[in-house]
Amino acid sequence: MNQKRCLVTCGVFLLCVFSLMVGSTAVSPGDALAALFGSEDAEARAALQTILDFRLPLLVQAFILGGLLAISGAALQAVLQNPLAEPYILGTSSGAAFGVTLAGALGLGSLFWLRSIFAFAGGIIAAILVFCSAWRRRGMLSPLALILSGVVIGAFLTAAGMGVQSLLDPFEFRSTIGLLLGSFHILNWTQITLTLVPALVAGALLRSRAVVLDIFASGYASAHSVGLNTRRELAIITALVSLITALSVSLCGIIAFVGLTAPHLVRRASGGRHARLFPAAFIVGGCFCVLADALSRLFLPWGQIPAGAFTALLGAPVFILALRSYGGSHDSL
Amino acid sequence: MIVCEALAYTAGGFALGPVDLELRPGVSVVLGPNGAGKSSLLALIMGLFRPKSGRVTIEGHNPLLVSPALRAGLAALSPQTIPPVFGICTADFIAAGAFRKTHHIYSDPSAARAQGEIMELANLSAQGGQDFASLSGGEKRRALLARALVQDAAWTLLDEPTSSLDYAHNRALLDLLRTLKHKGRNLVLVTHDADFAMAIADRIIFLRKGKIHSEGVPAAALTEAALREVFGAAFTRTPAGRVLPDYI
Repeated sequence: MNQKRCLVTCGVFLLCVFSLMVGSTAVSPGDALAALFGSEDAEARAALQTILDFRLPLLVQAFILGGLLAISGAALQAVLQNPLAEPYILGTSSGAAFGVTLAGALGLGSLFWLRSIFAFAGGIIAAILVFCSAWRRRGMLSPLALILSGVVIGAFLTAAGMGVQSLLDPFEFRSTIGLLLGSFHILNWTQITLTLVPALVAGALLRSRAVVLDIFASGYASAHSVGLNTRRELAIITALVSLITALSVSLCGIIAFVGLTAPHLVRRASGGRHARLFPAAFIVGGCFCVLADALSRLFLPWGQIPAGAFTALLGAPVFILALRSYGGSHDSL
Repeated sequence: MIVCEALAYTAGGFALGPVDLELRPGVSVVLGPNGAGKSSLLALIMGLFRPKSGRVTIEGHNPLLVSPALRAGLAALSPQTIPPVFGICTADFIAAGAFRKTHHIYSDPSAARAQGEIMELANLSAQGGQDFASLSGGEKRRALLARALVQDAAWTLLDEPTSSLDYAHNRALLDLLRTLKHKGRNLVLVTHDADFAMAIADRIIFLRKGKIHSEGVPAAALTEAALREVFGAAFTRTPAGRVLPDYI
């Protein structure tokens, strides 16, 4: 086990170093280290400045958002008892994307805080709509009704967003699409802290629900039977996931496949308990996004390929490999 | 005692009730054809569905009005549908039954002791570390029941416990239920299997098209006429006293 942990730690460290070095300006690790230890050499100081001002915020953002998307996917797969569930299934992402588009249409697309508020509000309003339409007469709330409402309201908001986008001027249209395609943007530390801290708190609250998620994963009727307040827990967990999703879309648009693939990659190794699944999924999801972001910067000379494209390109084959690992479980996947 | 008073429920074109029913301690079997409303009745007793009118009480408590923990102490359900569980080992699946007593379901010593005893009783000790999804249909049924037993509720409700079981697994389940009966557990089974009902029931309640058709002790209730009326098929009684469909 310790050997495995060492290997994982080394792998994560090397990936982070790779991510800090890659970009439009080549940075030498030697120069950065020299500047860190007090070198006055101009080239070394420029290298360190590039890392601190540009690469490190991107790395932190990609790792945390990737990790949070991964644990959100794991939580939804359990609470909805659906292995295909991922954070965007509840329509929150479409709501947040609609918010970003609306901000663009109002000429506010370049203002980070207003754009983020529009995205967040759009995501939360979409989540409320999904809850209201899934809530049945006589106070029942079922996972299937939530999924169906999420898919339908998501499709509606996506179509509405496309309608608004068609009215944008070419510059605003390109900028809005660029934001929604799924890429990490250079932010200052205040912006990172104020947006990621609430998302991290939501992630910690999800982690505190690990046993509840274990119970949910074995069926809604069984969970009700053993004394779980299923309606309340379903509402809390989906609200936390909606919060994380809305914040992540406001920062980096739609990052596909992370929330779906990362939990499946580690589920076997972690034994299925969410207390162990969450940290493993967080690391895998975080690394996945860091790698995708680094690759998008590595391919920059050939064009602006968003990180979201790389997560989908890498995620699809990786997900198929994860499916094969379930081969012995005839009833699961 | 479980009491249903003028209990009615509707969903789409389906209507159950009004049902007036008293389930006394022991083993009660609700027998009826597909679509008679057996599973809906259990769901109403468990508080999974809200009735259109009427009410259920378990030991004097309405399951819709008490806390989830108290409700879990009143009744445990072994559902008909085996959930598509993925990545959870059998022991962890069963451990969840202890949730009403402790939220440390994997580490609480008394919960672990009770779980071990019940897994042994259900002949699942060897499968504890095995992925739940890789169990056979019969083992999954026993695991569902074991989980309900770990809950240690006043009543254990089993929804179609013999569905998709072969003869050997049917027999193993029957033996387990008989052991529980002798230990004094209160069981409510819903099934369409008259033979199984005869083998275990203290009392049989026939349900047809959402209404109670008749009820009584097995020897008196399980007649060819009652079975014919309830299931809409012809039955004959063998010299040994078994009531079988006439195609056998």
